[in-house]
Amino acid sequence: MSNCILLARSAFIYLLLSIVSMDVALADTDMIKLNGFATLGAIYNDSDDLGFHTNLKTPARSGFSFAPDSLIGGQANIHFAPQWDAVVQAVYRDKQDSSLLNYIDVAFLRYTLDSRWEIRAGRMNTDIYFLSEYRSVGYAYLWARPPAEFYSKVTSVSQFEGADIMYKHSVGHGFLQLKAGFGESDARIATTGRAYDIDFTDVLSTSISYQQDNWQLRASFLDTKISDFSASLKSIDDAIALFPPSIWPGGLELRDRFDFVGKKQQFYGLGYQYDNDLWLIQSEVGFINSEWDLERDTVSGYISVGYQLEDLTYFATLSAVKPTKNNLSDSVGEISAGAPVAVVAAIQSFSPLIRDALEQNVIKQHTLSFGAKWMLSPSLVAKFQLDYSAISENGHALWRVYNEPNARETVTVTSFNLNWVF
Amino acid sequence: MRALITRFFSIVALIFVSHSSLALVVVVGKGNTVDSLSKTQVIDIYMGRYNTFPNGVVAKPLDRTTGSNEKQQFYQLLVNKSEEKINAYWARLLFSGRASPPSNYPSNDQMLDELRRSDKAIGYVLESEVDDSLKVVYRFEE
Repeated sequence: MSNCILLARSAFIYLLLSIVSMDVALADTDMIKLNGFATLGAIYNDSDDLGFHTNLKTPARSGFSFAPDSLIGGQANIHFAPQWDAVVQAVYRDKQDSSLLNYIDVAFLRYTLDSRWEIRAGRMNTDIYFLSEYRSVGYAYLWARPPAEFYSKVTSVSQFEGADIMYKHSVGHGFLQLKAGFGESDARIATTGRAYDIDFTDVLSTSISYQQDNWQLRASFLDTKISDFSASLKSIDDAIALFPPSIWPGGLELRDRFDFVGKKQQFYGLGYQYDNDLWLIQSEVGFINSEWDLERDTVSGYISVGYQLEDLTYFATLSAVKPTKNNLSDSVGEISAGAPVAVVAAIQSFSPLIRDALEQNVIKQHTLSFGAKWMLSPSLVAKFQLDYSAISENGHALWRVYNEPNARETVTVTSFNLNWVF
Repeated sequence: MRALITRFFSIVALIFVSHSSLALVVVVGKGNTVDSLSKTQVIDIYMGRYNTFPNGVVAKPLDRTTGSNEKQQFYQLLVNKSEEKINAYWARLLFSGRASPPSNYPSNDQMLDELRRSDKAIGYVLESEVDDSLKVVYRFEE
């Protein structure tokens, strides 16, 4: 399987080199089509304690900032032969990971078997929720940005390098699409503090969607395995090394709870959309199941209602996320009955540290958003949005923490942005 | 308001002129082997679901430029959507890397030229403009 990943990665690099070396004159022919999109967005975050970021991959900001939402992207569609084509998309935006290669969001080679089957290899968007494949294109959706409660965390695996296969078929008056992909992914993410590199292998994604007239349904599944994480387990290792397993048998078990290598996480998503040109309703719900105690199992979702009047659409969205396992044990595990009292006390003193570690990445909050979207011209859309977020105590891992809030905190983020396609 | 007016005129067009020479029809060049299409098949091609005709031959859908009456009327008749909705739909498909939107032609004459030139092309024109070089493959029902 690693050969397949290597092949996909080679296809990705080859595509980049091909695009760079292509004559610009080709842009005038049908062989290559160039398009782009851009967002100029301003936000105001009224909290001094909690920094706002659009997802875990972008740096957080307080006060007034253009950084979280502004971006510019370019895309080349290259048609090599009747059954072969390639797509390369680069997006320049504020992000934790500033390596040049990772400004390329998409670079894949596609083989179209027939009108129903397609196979792709390279770097692709992980198709597990409605906005998976056009999250950066503000022009194409209703809100100032996707609801953080549902989208932020799972965005860590928003792209993968590998291969996928798609089947599409007209069924009745509707259209069915099935997709399955396999590969690996890496990201630089930050929750409440400094950023970490995380690598995922065995990224398996599957999705099914059906669209008919005014409505669309989709379901998806994602399975990932953590292969590397840049955080250190040294402090745990040092603590365990102080006491031999005969004194503290629970130490090794505790280390296994905190270790990340090989830990699997699954995401299950369901989505529904209805649009009759007057009312627009969209809702998604997602479950994350994690083998790793530092990443809690969570349930998240949103419902959004839009009312469309000519060039103006008003909308309101309610989104929420919470852990499904609230009381993970902070026990230090088994201590030998023969251990001296002072040693038992020393080991027991780790318990608050375990509790702190377990609560570091907890996300528990809900947001009520109101906004409007104007179609200013066929290629330009303006959006205004107010987000009122209520964040539970010890549940603020969607925010960068500047000062630890002592209680439930409410934050208002005001956004205005202009979105182009060209 | 513009969308409402467009919709009103589309309905008027449907009621009064669907069988007249002013009705929009879907056409291909005489050299194309396709003789007729269902509405679903026209939707499949124009909405980027399939890039081929039902017989497997590659299809090249042609569009009029943004803002033209023919384009607005065509998409109202085909999928009952405003041009704004169609633009957002294509932005999603294009930047998802799934499909490229139909090529745009600023005038009817340019679209007609391409339809006559290419056996892959499919377009929409007024029935009065159909001559021996073109074949009507779909008429919108009343």
